[in-house]
Amino acid sequence: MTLGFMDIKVYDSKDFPSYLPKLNLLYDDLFSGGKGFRAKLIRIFSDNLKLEPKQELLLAQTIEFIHNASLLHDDLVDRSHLRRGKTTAWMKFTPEYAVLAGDYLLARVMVNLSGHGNIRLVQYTAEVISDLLEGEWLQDSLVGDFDLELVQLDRVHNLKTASLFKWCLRSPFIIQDRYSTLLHTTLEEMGTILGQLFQRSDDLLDFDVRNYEKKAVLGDIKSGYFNSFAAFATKDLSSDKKAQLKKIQTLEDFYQALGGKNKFDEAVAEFDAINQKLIDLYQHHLTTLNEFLVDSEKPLLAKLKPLTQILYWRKTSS
Amino acid sequence: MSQLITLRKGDPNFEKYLLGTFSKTHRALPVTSLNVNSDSEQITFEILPKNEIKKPFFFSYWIQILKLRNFILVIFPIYLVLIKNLLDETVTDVRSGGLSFLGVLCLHTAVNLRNDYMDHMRGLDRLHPTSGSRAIQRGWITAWSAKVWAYIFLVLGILLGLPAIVKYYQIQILVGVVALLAVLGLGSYKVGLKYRRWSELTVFLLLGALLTCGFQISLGAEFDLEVLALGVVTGWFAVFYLHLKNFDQLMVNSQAKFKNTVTWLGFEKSKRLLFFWWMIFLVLFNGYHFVYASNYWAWIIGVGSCLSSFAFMTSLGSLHSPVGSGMKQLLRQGRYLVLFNLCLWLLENLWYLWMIERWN
Repeated sequence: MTLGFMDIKVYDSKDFPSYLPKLNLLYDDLFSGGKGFRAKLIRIFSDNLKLEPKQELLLAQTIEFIHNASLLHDDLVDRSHLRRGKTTAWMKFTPEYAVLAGDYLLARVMVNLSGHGNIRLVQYTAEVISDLLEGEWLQDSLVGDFDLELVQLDRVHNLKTASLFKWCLRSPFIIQDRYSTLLHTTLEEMGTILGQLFQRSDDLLDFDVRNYEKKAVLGDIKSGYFNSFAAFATKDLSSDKKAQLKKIQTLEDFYQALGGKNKFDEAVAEFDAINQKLIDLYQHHLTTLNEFLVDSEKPLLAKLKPLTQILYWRKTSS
Repeated sequence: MSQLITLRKGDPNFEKYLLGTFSKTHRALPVTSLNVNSDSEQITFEILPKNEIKKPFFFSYWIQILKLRNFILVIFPIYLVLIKNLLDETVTDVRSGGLSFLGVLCLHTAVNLRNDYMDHMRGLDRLHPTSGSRAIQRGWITAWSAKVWAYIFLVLGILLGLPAIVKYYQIQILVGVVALLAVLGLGSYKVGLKYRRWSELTVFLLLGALLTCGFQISLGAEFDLEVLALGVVTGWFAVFYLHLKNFDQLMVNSQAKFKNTVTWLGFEKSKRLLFFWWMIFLVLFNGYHFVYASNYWAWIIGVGSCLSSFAFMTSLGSLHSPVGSGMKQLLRQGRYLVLFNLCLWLLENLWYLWMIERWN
């Protein structure tokens, strides 16, 4: 199953002031990469809930602007040099421009949304941006902490990663003035699961698990960030042994710290098993969501069903 | 093999699943949520056969269900009052004192079980998966049985306390104060005690002066200033422990908009609150000892309590995240600090008893 060709043009240089030096150059760079997964998710909802093209564009733009603003800030906070294989904005331009460009995107989100006039959508979006920033802030407070537990990281990831997934699931209903609390509770839980699975799968890449795109490994640990799989795999190690992980340079070092490659594989299998439980819970929530959809909208469920396969197991087609 | 079911408040089975009375062979465990503002009108349950639920060994099981660790906050003040009165030779009513002691233990158990029940019914245990006894969340007992046992212990507690209440008018006044606190508390009892800002006052009084004065009177002794001072120290101590636990749960409580002093102050100012609360405790603790204890024990306690505070204060000062491992370490060190100081106090009182025995 593929999510389809991304044909929503979320970024148009004409939407931004041309007299500002480097702004459009920076955005050209920023928006030219990336899979646009979140905008594709909006497309799925738009197709099945029969949103107007204007509404679909507004939502797709909003989520991609927020996501890209967070990347601009994130790269600077983490002092990352590369993003999507290219030099990061703060390195290529200046840290000041990177911060301002991110702020400008968030301001534009509010301008666009308030122009549309759905105050609840504006409020919800502002809450999501707040959650995102809280998550970033908390994550920064955890740098160098190698004695974390999975549940602690889950709370941070729920703010930082899952908030955008939740927005993708809930905003198409909000823009249609569908505010049922029970519907949104279900969507909120589904978004949390998608966010967690996305994050955990991404964290596994750092240990070269299902790393089909051959991303660099051990980036998180080397930059002082103890990710969800590291926290899970080392849960039985003492604090002292975990502290020694700060020195590891290769995957072999990590295997040794766990007690060998076999132990590592067991940890991956166990991690997959707990995430499979999350996937089962997501599938269950789909049946609850079914009750809130009219017949013409029900094909949405078939489109949402394989998302967990794509996000966690990284299966791109079926 | 488990299965999932989502039920809404309007569903006729909703309460049966929540209470655990829907089946004799299965348990319904509400799925925990990271979304603190989730509406408790709709709950997803994991249905598990009872025989698939893992229970710990007998002692560990009951220790966790009854939250025996918290009993120390009740038993210790009673122990101090008892020793004080034994030394002063003012114990004249052993039967009433003994029954009151058992009554207080029953009431404490009732409050613990009732809290677990209320947290479960209001969905708070799904937001705090590591808080409380977790006995209901893990399927060891049903919410219904927690509620029933809470009532049984409440009735037992009242019955056991009756002789002292009937016999001593001063205890009737103290019970009146407790009843007033309960009525005031009930007015805003939308969430548990630990989730309200001014709950510290209730804990301060219930585990402090009300407990120590009430127990002394139930032993047949008269009220005196020393027992009041003792209550101030133990009450202050109990509130320190409450602040510490609230601090550990600061992030979730803040997100869920629960009001207590720690969420009101926030992360940085709460660190100062804990620091000053402990400093004031040291002043009260040592002040009490310099006034009422023997000279050498006052010095031992003074030096011991100050030195034992060092590790905790260092951890508190270096704490930089409300979700990191530092918080876990701080809570652990806080517990050690509490235990160490209680042990010192315990030894001191045993020493006095031993000395009296020797002289006699």
